[in-house]
Amino acid sequence: MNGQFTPEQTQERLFGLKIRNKLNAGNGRLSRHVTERLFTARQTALSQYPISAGQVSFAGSFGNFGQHLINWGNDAWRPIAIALMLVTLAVGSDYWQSLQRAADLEEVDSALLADDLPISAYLDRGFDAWLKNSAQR
Amino acid sequence: MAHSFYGLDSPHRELILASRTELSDFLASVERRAFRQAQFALRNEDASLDVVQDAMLKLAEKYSDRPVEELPPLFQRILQNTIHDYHRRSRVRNLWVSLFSAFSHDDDEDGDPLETIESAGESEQLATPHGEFEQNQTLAIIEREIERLPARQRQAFLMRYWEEMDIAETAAIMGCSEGSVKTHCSRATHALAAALKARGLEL
Repeated sequence: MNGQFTPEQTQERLFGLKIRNKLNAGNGRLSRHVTERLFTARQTALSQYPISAGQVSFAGSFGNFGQHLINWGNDAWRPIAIALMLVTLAVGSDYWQSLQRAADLEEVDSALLADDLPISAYLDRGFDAWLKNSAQR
Repeated sequence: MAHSFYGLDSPHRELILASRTELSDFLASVERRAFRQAQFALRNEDASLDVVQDAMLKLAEKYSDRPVEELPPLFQRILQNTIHDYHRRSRVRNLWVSLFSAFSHDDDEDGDPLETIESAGESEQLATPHGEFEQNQTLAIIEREIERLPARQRQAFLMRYWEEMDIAETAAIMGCSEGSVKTHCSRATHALAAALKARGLEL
C-alpha cells in the first residue's frame, strides 16, 4: 500500500496533509452551540450502547456489585481479573484461618510435651476435663 | 456468543470489543470532523448536527459487537450513507422551498448558503486578533472551495486525507473501485489547488 509514489502522488499527499492541518485547526473553532450539541449527541448514542453478552454474564455472577465494577472498569478483561482476585482472597483467607487454628493447637501441644504448663493449668478443672476428653478421642 | 466475545473464532487476531469508554473516546475524537464533513456536503448546521447524531446512534445500536479498530471505517460508512440519505430527502424538500421562495423573495440575494456560513463566523472573528482573523479567513476560503468540489471528489479527498483512510477502505465505503478513488482524489487535489491559487492562497 505504501509502495513507491510518483512525484505527482507525493505532491498530492503533501497537499492533502496541508489541507488536513488547516481543517484540523478549524475543529477548535466550532461554536459552543455546535460542540454542546455534539456532546449531547454522543451521550445519547452512548446511552443506547447495549451491554454485550459477555459483560452480562459477568454482571450476573457478581450481581449489582459486579455491574458497578464493570462500569468502573469498562474493559472486557477487567471482570476476569476481579473474579480471580475475589477467588484468591476467599481461598487465601480460608487457608490463613486454618493455619491459625493449627498454630493455636500446636502451642498447647508443645507446652504439654515440654511440661511448660503453668501450675494454674493443672488446677483448672476445665483444662483437666479437656485433657481427659482429648485422651479418650 | 462467548466465543466471539473472546475472539476465539478468529485464529489470526484477537478481537477485543469496544467498551463504552472506548466508544465514547472514539466518538469524541471524530465528532467534529464528522460534523464538518456533513456541513461541507449539506451546508446546513442543524441538518449536519442531526446527521452526526443519527450516525452516532446507528453505530452504538447496531455495531456494539465490533472491536474498536473497526469503528473508524464503520462510522465513516454510516456517516457517508446518512449524509447521502439526508441529501436525497432534502433535494425534494428544497424543490418546494425554492418554488415557494421564487414567489415570496423580495430582495436580489440568491441565498447562497456560503454567506450564512460566513456571517455565522463573523461574530467570532470580530473579537479575535489580526493573526487569527487571517487564519479564519484562510480556513473559510479552504472550506468554501472544498464545498464547491463535486460530491464524490470531496468525499474521496476528505476520507483519504482528513480521515486518513487508505485507498481500499475509501473505495469500499464509496462503493467504487480503487482506481476511481485515485481519480477522484487527484481531480479534487488539482481543483482545490487551482482554486486556492486563484484566490491568492499558497499553502
